[in-house]
Amino acid sequence: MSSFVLLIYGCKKDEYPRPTNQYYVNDYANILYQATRRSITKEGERLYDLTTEETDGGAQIVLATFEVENLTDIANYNKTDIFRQWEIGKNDMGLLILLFFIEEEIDEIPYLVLVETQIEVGYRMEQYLTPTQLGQIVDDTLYSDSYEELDMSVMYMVYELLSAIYIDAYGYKSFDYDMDVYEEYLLSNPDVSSDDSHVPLSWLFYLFTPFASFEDRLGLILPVIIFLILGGGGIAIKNKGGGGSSGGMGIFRRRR
Amino acid sequence: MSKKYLGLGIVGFLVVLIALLLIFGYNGLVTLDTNIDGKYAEIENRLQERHDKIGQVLGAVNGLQEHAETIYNAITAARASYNDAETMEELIEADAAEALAFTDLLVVVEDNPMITATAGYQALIDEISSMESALSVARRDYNEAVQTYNASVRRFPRVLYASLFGFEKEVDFWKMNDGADEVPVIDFDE
Repeated sequence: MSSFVLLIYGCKKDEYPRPTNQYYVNDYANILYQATRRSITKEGERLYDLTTEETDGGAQIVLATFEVENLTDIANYNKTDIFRQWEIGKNDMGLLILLFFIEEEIDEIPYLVLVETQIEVGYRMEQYLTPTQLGQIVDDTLYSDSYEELDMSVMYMVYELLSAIYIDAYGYKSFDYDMDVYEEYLLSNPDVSSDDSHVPLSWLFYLFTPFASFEDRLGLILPVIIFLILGGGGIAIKNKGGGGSSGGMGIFRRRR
Repeated sequence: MSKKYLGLGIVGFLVVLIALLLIFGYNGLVTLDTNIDGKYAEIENRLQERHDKIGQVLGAVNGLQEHAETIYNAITAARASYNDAETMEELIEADAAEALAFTDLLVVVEDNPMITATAGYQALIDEISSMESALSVARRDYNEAVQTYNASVRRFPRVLYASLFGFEKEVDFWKMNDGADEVPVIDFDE
């Protein structure tokens, strides 16, 4: 069994964590409420489903949070490489939001503090969302004083980004949302315990996603056959990347 | 009789094998070469976007000419060198000149409250840093494509195909001066 595990991990060559099963939310810092994770996932699925048949269709918004030791560690994360590894958005219509947190003590109580935000847009998405527009949205939502609660600010930003995509990229007349309703939803779903839906995809799940390279699949084919013989069928990926790529366009902001 | 057929069969097999090797070898080189062309075109696109944006930036930052004549002139000179660039070497020089002019511009803008007070300041920072980030990625992608090609074309048997079909033995990297291709770092700490 150990050799089996070694074989699986020996095939690993990705620089960054694989996306989670939820795909649209990758809360590696484990800082968001489940309600927020569910809402972002639901909105992500809706955006993809509603736009997939449109011209330049299949837009995807993916959010990831990372906890880092210090500011210099952020340099180890390249937003373009993560975007490309996760293949966000069909027709290069993807948008990736990275939130970096550092643990700080306030009154001897450790808190995770947002120290940097990065956004990367897919090649095709560039023509619909300019850096100026992205910066304006982030400043007016995540970096504004509108809400004290991080989840509220994050969701506010996601809603505004969705609004910009629906209206500017797909010609919708409006995108309606109500932050008061979301606040009530958040308060009525205060569960912050982590669930297994935000852990990285297992290697066996990963094999069936577009993120897996030919070498990965080749290296994993034997263990997968053994796994299936042992009765491990019924695997399904709920969400996955649309195959998109990006070229470095986007913005970043420091401390909230 | 059977020996004659056996001999013909072997010769035929070898001819087919060699033909297949030549076809696959040639196609492999074409793929690598085309990939470089694609990445080079991406740099050109990004450079053109940046070049177009410089004009908008100069228009958006009111009072730049009065506050920083040197930077204004540097940007104007960088634009001129981009317009005149014909070879790859000249384009790399123009790229470096524009990158440095932008970096200097950011420093001047940051240090000058009269300029930072303008409405377009934050947008200017976002546009420049985003454009430089995209250019940095485009250069990296091009250099990776060149590295893959150069490494591949030196290996056997591709080295033979390269000579046979007249492919370049080595393609030049997009090499900037030290630090010139770094994305300007803008600190938003308050």
